[in-house]
Amino acid sequence: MKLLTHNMLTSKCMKGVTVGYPLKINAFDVKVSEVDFNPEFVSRIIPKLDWNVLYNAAESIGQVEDMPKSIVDDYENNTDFLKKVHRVLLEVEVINGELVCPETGRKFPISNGIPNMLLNEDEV
Amino acid sequence: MAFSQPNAQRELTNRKILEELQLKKQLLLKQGVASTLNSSALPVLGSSNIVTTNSDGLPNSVAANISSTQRAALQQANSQSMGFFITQDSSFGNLILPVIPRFEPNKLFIMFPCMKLKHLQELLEDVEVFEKPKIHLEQYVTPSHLSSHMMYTIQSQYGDLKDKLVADLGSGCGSLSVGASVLGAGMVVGFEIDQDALEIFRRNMEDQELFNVDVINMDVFHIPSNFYKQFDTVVMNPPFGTKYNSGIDMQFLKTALQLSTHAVYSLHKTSTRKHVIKIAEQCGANAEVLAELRYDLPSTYKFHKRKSVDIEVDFYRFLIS
Repeated sequence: MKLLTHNMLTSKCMKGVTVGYPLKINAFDVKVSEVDFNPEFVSRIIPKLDWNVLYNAAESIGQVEDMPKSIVDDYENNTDFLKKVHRVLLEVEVINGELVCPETGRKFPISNGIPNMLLNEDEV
Repeated sequence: MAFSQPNAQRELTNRKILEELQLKKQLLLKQGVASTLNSSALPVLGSSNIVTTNSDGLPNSVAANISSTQRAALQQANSQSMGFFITQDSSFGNLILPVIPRFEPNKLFIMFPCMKLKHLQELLEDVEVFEKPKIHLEQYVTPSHLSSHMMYTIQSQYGDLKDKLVADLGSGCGSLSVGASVLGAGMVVGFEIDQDALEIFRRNMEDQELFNVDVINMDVFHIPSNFYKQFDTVVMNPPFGTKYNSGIDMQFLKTALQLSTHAVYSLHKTSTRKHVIKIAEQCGANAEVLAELRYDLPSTYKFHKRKSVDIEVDFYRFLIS
């Protein structure tokens, strides 16, 4: 699971959960693999992100490195910044671990990089 | 054709069409691709439409059945004009008839950068597929010639994959995700309910060394609203909703239309076309059938009595307004 995906994931579909966001990450195994840097793509994604959630998620798994705490001005032309965001969004990957619902504490396992968000019948 | 137009107006329209064709021809000649167009009038998908041609540039089956006068007329027409002609006789005694291509002219010509179709197809042939397809999930394998044509069309004609955030609904073993990724998507997110399919999906991405693909084990009907309007493009080959899942294809479509800001590409049974178009309209999207396909379903399940079953399927582009 990449942090771009984490930025959109919630447990809102569970019965009784109102926001379910952001999901806390307990990472047991994190991998950083090289992904082609695509500055146009990263620039377009940035305004859609919940930046604080991204930053906190990266920090919680020890992968924030020197990515700034807030979005810099004129980021479209700041290759250095875009590369840092690219790394956090697309290259960092939680291979094994779990996502935790902030309201109920329900854990969603991540194994082989795939978060299991399936709900039991009584949870829907 | 509309015969109700007054003569003068019709002539004007015809002239406009001719001028446009002439313009396109010049454009094509510049690009050096005109020679490939004469023998393949339509970008038809599917394998059943391959026509072999002989030295006259005519389909063999046609060449054998036409008279010498027709042949001469056809050759002359082909050499002097860039239109497409068929030898069918008309009630007015014409030897040949011009055929106006059905696609909107500008579509074929505005090309986006794209890998060669043949190469894409080779890559997709290597995608591992279901070991034991599950009937309750209507797991069907998307044949590689079909998935490659789909993905090729999406990128080469519409540029809707390169640099885009793409969702693949009911991603299965990942053939559409592989296609999106190799055609330059910024990132692909697959949604799949079945863990066995996910394991194959993951292996496929590893084998093809695609690292910009993520997949979530999730029921498509439980995708939370945080994902709505996040994706540029949604691609899917949904369950057709045939056996036990009646209506499931439309639920996929409605979800897809919510996830995307721009376009959704999907396959649906031709027999449901009216319904599909209506549902799309209700969701504020414009449906366009890009191609009619024969979907060759090998006898995946025991209830298929014949060896393979052809079902007619439409390849759609839904444009979100």
